[in-house]
Amino acid sequence: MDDVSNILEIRGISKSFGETSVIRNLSFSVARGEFLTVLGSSGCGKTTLLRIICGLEETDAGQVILDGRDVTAAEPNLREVNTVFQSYALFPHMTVFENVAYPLRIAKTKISKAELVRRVSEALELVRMTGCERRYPSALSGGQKQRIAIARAIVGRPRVLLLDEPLGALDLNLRRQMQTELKNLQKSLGITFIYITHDQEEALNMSDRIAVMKNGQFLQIGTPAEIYDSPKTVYAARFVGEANILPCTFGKMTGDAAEVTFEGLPLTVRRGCISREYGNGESVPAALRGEQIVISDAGRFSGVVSDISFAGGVMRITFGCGGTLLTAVRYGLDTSVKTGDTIRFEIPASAAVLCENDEGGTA
Amino acid sequence: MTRKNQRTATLAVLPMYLFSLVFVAGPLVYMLVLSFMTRDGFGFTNAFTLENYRSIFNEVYFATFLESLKLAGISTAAVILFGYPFGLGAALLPDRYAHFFRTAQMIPYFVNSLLRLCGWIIIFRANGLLDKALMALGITEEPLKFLYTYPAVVVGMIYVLLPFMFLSVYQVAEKLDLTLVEAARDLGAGKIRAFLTVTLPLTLPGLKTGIILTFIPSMGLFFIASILGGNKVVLIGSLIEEQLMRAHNQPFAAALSVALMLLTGVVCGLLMKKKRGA
Repeated sequence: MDDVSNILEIRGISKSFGETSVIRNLSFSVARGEFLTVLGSSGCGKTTLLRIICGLEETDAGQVILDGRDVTAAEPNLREVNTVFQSYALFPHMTVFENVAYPLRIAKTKISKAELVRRVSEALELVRMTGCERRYPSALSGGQKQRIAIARAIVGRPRVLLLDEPLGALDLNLRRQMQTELKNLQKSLGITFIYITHDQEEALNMSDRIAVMKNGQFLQIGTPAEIYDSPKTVYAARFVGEANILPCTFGKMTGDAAEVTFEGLPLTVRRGCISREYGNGESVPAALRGEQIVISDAGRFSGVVSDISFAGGVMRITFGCGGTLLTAVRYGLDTSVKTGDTIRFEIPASAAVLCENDEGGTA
Repeated sequence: MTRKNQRTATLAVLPMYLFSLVFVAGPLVYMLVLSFMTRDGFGFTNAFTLENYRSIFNEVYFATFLESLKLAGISTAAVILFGYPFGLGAALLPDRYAHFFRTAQMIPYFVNSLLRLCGWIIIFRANGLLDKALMALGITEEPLKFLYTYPAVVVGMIYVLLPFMFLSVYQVAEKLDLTLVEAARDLGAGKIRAFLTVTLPLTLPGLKTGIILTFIPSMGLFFIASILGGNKVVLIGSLIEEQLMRAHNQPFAAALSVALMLLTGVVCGLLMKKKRGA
């Protein structure tokens, strides 16, 4: 377990507020220089997790190991972890320079004035905010405040940088631009990022790994591709990318593939990441990405088109098949399909993947 | 602001402005003029003189000034010591408790302040509540006779002035964004460091208002010294009253008042000097 390549190890932490259990026996590790995104909807416990890592919240059980040192009981100022807060939390009574210089000025190891100025300038340069040193936070736009908050958090060269929905308050264009910048920044600094968001696009765009969080636990942790291709549960499938959930009946497992029936017809699906076994005849959900549905007259399945939308070069065809609504995604405009048409379609072998139902929220 | 709004605003403040001009600025100018006039029997003549101001530096009167300044300083310092932590602490409590403390602070003020001060006499007088309690607890063996002592006056001053400090600090501290304190802690500041670099500077406006609201009245509050100090402590306020009501030396009373205003004005001016952006 004591792998030195891991900068952060979380071992069995739990946290309750009164009767409400917010984090439940959570364990994971983060590799040095990794960009890990914790993805979950509001109330899933992701912010509490972050506060436990930076020490602003105490954990009820378990340990937080930072670079091989147990910091579970350490005060926040004694952890080499810095946070970019959702509200930026810039000090309103200090200039941009003073804000960014703050961690250096209060640090135990004193540095010369020249070194201080050099490092503040360097940090401001990294977030492209040179020239704002004398301004006060109240004179900055949301995007600028964001950059200053990041500069302030990285200037002290923490081992891990925590980011709590840092782009949440920005408009879409700025958010996309900042995503790219953050990713580049992380690469050039080589600092481990733990990024918290409810935005799957941000997660898929920036992360080395994504942890899908629900009800205080990780449903699944893996690379964006893994989670997209083989979501472990129905919730993960729906939360990361769009997914169709096929209600299937389980047949048998053959290696990494499984034989199931959907709408009475046999279908070969991948085993994916499920952690439980299914028995013959048991109903099982299978996730299928919209772009993998092939609409063709040779298809074995049929459905009635209920809605068609076309946006940004992507066409979404929603159709009912048995009792299930499915959405097929096609690129480019296809005028041959109209609402009310009966279409035939095929689900290629190994396109769909088995997953688990989220029972009462536990995986 | 649009031009129309500006006009409405001007109209709204105009009565207050005129009222202040006639009833505040007017008497002030009158007092200033009066302070340069010459005493004549029970009245005064308008012969210009600086004698009134020269008299202030008379040993006895000057000592009264220093005494007032000392009491105001001690009282203000004590009020800061009690009021700031109390105001800050109450504001940081969960809402229900915070409101309780704020209301509890204000309820006694529905009773006339002189009446409340007289309550202290019952507590402080020889063989009063304080003496009885201390003797019952075996802390003292005979009555302290706390009433009519300097500390009794200071306690009275703290009692009267504390709410001004409490409410000023509370009001500013209530708006304090605690995320900022957390950010400071996260960025490496210990608890004391975070307080000194973030909490204190951000609640300083409330503290300054509290100091002004404490210091100005404490320079003039002579009735506390009269009631709890038994006129052993002579303050500038009582001196002015004496000169005006008993000695009938109106020009000198005016000069003393002007000097008092200048003194408090300078102290407040120093406090109000704002740092840019703060």
